[in-house]
Amino acid sequence: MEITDQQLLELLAKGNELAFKQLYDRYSSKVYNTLLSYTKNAEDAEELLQDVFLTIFNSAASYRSESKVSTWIYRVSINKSLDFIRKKNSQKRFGIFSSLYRKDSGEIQYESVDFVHPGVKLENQEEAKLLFKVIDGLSENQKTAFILTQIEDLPQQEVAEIMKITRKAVESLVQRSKANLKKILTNQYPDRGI
Amino acid sequence: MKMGNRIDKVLASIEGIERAQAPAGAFEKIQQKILVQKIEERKLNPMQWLAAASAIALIVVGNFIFITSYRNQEAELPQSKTYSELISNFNIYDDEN
Repeated sequence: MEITDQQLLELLAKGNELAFKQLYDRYSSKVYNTLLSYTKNAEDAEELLQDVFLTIFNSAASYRSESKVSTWIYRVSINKSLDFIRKKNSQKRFGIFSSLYRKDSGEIQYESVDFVHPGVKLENQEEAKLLFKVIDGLSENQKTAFILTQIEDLPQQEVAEIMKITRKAVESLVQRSKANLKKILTNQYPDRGI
Repeated sequence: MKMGNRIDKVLASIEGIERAQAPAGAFEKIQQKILVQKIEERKLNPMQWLAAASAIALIVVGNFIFITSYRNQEAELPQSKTYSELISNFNIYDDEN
């Protein structure tokens, strides 16, 4: 019989490093894929992946089984991603602000241009580039609902548990995110046949 | 291509997207970070260093005070006390001759 996530976490809390490796093998690709969708940068996603699993290692003993282990791991990943983006945006704002006072300041590059998700089919890559570019125009909740349902392909009920909202609210967030993406695409790229 | 069609194509571009795999060697980097964290935990923080230094200073000062006061006590003691009993030659029959 296969050992459950809950049992792995209990073993990890007792310091079992083999359990940690098993948990990593089960969740690393899910976590990395989610982080990559948020950060749109492989290096940042890898850095956050390490951070997420370090948090799992340190918090295993204090984990309360009110939610599924997978739900908890997704929550940790999303919180880390959103914190990272907030920090990056505030640095970007500070960069723009300080450059107003420095005549010799060069162009500061924060965004990775034309991110291509490695899992996107070859024939869809041009369109996917555009989609990942405009995804930042969504609110945090819309972005999370969109990434988890459309890219991570999680069922709406599971997304609802991760986001601590109702399934109906997730459905509504996904609809609004799609509508907003359409609006942003129309406004930003009117001359490209979109 | 019509605008609506292109937008739909953009939104549909992530259909059938495959999950990206975590980079090779990431787990080893996490293990390394855990090791560093354990080493850091064993190190004393500044407050602990301060407490240890204070305890050592207290012991040193205490010992110094004890030794100094002990020496002073020794110096204050008279080298020879003139007790009449000691000067006596214990010859109680001197006058008998």
